[in-house]
Amino acid sequence: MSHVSVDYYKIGSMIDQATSHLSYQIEGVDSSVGVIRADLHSTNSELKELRKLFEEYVETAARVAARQQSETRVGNLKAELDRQFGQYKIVRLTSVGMLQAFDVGNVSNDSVQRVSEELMIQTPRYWLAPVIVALAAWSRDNTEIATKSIQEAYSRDANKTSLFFMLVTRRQGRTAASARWLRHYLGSVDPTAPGREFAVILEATGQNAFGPAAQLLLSQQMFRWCTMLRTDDGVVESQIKSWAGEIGRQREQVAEGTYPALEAIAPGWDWLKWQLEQASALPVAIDKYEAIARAEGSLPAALENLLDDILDQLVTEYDAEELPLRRDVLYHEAVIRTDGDVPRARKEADLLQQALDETSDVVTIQTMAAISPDLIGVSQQTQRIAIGVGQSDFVSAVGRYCAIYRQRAVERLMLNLDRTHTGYAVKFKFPGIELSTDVPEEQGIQHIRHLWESTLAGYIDAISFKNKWYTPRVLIGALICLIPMLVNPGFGLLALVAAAVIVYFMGENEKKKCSQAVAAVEAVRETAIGKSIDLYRDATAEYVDAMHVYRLLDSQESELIRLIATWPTANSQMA
Amino acid sequence: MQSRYRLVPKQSVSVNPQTAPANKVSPLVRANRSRPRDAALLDAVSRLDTFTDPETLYALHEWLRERYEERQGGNLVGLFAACHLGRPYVDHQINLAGTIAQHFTATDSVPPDFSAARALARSAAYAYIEVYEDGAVIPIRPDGTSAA
Repeated sequence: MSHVSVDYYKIGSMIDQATSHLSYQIEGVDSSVGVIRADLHSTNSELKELRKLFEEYVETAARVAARQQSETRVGNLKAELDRQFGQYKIVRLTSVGMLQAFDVGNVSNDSVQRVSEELMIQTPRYWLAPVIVALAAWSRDNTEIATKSIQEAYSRDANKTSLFFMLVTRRQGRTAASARWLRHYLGSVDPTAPGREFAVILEATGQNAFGPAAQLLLSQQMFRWCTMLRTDDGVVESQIKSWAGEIGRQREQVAEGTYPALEAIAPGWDWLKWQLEQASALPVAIDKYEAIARAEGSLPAALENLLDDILDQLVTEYDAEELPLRRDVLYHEAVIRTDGDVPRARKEADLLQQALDETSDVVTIQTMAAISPDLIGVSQQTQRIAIGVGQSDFVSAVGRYCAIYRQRAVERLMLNLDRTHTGYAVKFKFPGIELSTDVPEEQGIQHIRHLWESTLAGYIDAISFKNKWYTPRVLIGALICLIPMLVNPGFGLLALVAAAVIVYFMGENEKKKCSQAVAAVEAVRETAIGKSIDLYRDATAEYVDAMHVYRLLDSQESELIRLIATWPTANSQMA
Repeated sequence: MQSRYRLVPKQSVSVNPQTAPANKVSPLVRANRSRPRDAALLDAVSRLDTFTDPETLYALHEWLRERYEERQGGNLVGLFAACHLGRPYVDHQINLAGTIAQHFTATDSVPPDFSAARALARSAAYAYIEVYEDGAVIPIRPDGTSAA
């Protein structure tokens, strides 16, 4: 049997070698993987960058394309407008020119007639063309042609024609004729969307610009319209909301620091403040509307200009037929303006369109005239009339406005003298106390005092000198003396006496410190209690004051209602 | 500038809508509700808690119910008002369908339909509060006008 000897050491070293070789190779692979990972990462970010650049390029290209398209389109649309309605522009310019020529009186009837008739032939369907023929015929007293032309214009656009003649006859001082045209105009107005110019007509009639007959006519028509529109609950609600908003806008605010104690210790103060501020709107509203009621109506100097502006607008504004093309132009111009940003351009164009299309019904126009006369350009005189018309809505709004804050009115406040309400409270660990404003003040003060007394008693007790202070020290002294006592009893006795003297003096020192601390607490006792009581007293006084102010403000509702109910220009709308 | 009430003009112009939501009732009912309540009606409501005799109370309830039916302002759940009985009672509910007048102390909770009315009844600005089946809560001022 042969003997096989195994050299374990060699095998072991070979395995070690192989392992270290392997781990070296693995490390190599690892670093290669790391390099690849880094490469991949950089490729990835480069790709992302590329993608971003590409997207930017695509977006820019799209925007440039959109912009170019819009530029071409605007050009085409304008050309189309010019081709289809170019003649309208000439008619508009001619009508303005003709009115000016009448004012100056430097143009012959013949040339006016020739120009107007030419335009009549060249612009079929447009309402302004027969209007200028009628004007020309009127200037040379040709009743037949004037009547025919007016009939034609009226059949083309009743609203614009009657408004035009109403304004022109008024310019010539023919109030009877303008009142007749006002009747036609009112007949053609849609009360749910009377148009932007209606407020000025309302204003002008209120100022007697069209004579007393027109004033009566308009007020009767307004009453009929309002009665009709007010059968819709939504319309009435929306007026009441506007009025309530108007009352709300008169709110004042409690100046910071007016009620410092309540701000500090009443967590419910914000509610009381809110209700105070809500009620504060009432006297301000009374002042505002009393001033309007008392104001002497004066003729606004700008009224003439306003009426001329309507006339100007009427003859220069685009006709309904042109609107689709005009809207397209608006949109493409927005695209060019936004540099091809189509979504933004759409939004801008929509907004512009909305502003152009904005229409309110006559009831809303009345309320707007009453609440924000400046916004729709009417005078205080018209505002007074409009307030009279909106009387019942105003009264309803006052009722609701007050009911809302009264419903949430606070009955009492909790005054919270918490653990940190004063520096002393923190120092002496005051546990905190919550008192309702319903509690009589003297009783509240007693509660606070009691709590403070017990807090201070506890504190003093904690810091006073106690005999148990000696126990550990005496024990330690005795233990220390035990060793010399064992060595030499005489020496031990001496040490014991020395230790007793030391402990005694230390105790005396501690007693002195404690009694000093207690004296310090006693010295500030009344100040600490007084501070809390003062804060509580201030808060209750401020609460009484705030409630008094609230009741004063709140009680003005009846005064405001009386003011509205006895409005000088009110009609019979009040129930 | 401070006003006479030590309040200053508000800086912000944003205004929350201050109105109660509109209840869906017919224009006729709405108009009837807005008509002022006459003095006799107000007087009857204010005297309700002064009677203890069941017959008189019954007659008064009947009379009230008829007046409200005549007004045609919709179906009432009841009326709610501050109570004049004195402590511990603070307010009461008058149910017109039956002949119940229920008095509440400050700690009592009122039926859910009347919780909004209770908050309003605390205000001295209202004589009493009407609560309708459609959810409308209408405060009535001492002069008989509706405040909604």
